[in-house]
Amino acid sequence: MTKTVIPIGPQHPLLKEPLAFQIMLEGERVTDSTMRMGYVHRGIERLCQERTFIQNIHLVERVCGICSHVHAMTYCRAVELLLGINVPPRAAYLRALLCELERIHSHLLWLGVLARNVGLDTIFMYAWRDREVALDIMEALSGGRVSHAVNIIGGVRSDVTPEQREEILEQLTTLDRQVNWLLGVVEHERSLQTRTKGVGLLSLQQVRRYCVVGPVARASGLDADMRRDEPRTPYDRLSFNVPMHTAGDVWARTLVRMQETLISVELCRDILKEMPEGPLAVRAPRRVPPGEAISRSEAPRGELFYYVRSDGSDTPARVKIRTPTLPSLLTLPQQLKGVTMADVSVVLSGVDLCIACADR
Amino acid sequence: MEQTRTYDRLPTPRGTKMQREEGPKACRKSLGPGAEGSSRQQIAGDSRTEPTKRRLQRYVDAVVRWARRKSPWILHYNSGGCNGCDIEILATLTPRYDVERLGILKEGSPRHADILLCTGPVTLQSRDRLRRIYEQMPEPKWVVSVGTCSCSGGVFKGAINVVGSVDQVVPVDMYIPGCPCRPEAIIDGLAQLLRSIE
Repeated sequence: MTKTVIPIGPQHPLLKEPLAFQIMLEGERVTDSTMRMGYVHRGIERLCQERTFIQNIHLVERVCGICSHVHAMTYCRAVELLLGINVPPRAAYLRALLCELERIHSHLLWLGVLARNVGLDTIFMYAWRDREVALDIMEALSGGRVSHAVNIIGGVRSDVTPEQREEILEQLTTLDRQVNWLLGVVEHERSLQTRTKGVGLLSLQQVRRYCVVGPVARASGLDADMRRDEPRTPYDRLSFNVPMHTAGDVWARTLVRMQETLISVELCRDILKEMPEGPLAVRAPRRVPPGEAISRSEAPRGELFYYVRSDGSDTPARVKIRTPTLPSLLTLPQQLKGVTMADVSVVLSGVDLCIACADR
Repeated sequence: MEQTRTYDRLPTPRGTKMQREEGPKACRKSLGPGAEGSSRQQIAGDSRTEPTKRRLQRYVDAVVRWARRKSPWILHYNSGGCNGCDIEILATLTPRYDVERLGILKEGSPRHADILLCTGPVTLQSRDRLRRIYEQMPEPKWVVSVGTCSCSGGVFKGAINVVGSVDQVVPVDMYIPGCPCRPEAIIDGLAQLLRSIE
């Protein structure tokens, strides 16, 4: 067999973001692969130490453009823990609403990217068309399509008026119908199944060893969801399922994400219906007392972790961000072993790469 | 003819008078078919057909300009951004905004692209790669910096691993600010760039 080395990236039509691979092939099969990261490393954690607690909200929102709200929310929560303040219930509901909308938009975006990399441009176009509905709702809520800037330490900035609420509920019905239809298409599309079934296998043992979180872990049978395991204000009052599959391939991940999207639409509806009245934010002091705090939440790609340490000044002494994409990125060389060259694109898109998150 | 004979008798070293005199003629000759001549008659003949050739060239140039304006192929490179502008660039290709109806096509290889869309600040590790991608693109080429970070460094200005804006690495023709910039802004920026090409 002839041995070939194929470089992929950092600029490649397959990848939206820069990431470099060297793929060693023997004939048509991948025998080994190496990965080079760090093209998007900006040094955000270090930059956080140079800016004030309030400026950092703006900065951590730009760790990742797809899950921008959940980053800012988790950071704010950590600082609120340090300050010892509780956000008003309405603010917690509004934060959760944006979180769920972000999950819908992220999962539909991912489905589109997977379909495009598999060669089904039609599903890409449909998924991204439906995603625009979620973006419209977020724009109505916050004024921004992708980054929202609604979080402040102690609560949120923008509110939902009763008219907006009715309008959003109507849009959610559209979204529900479209996502259901899309799930039907995906389930019956034989070419998508042929490409994704049995590709990018990850066993439960490997998931545990690499500390993989989120939909990738749930598709391999690891039952973990921060919303349910560590319930915070809106989620402890809402009932929802956590979709689980055990196959551990890209097809299982597709199903997990699509079912999660439907559950998120349902959650958005419940949140809007049960949202209590009240203030949006409490006043937070500028100086943060010394101490350390951790905060965890379920981002679209899994558990997001923030550690914030304060030394009593107006800038944090340390901010550590653990993003959900990094461990799933590290499993890629394992997943690539043994697949054919044509399936590399499926494996790479199967884990929902977000290199901006992973590199920071 | 006399002059030619003089040159034949007195060989001149390379790069002196003779070559300098032949310079413009050689340039003109390279436009049309036929071997390079050195006699004065041929030069005279050239200058007679020249207006026709120039007119033809003008028409060809106009057609090429028109074609370039009608169908620019874009290449997208994220040199260290947060993904926000990248998904907005991709959103411009999808049904709601659909820039393909304007002839704009996203291209995967720098060797086929006309316009480079850059997002994000330039990080130390991306810098050389960005320059290389720019050099790989064939002339004529344009660079559009999409997003505030790409225009000025944005929130990442002063970070240890960030070089700064895109124009510190490659020449930029159009700046589209916004964090992230909306798809409408990207389409408007591209339309203005295409207008300026004409």
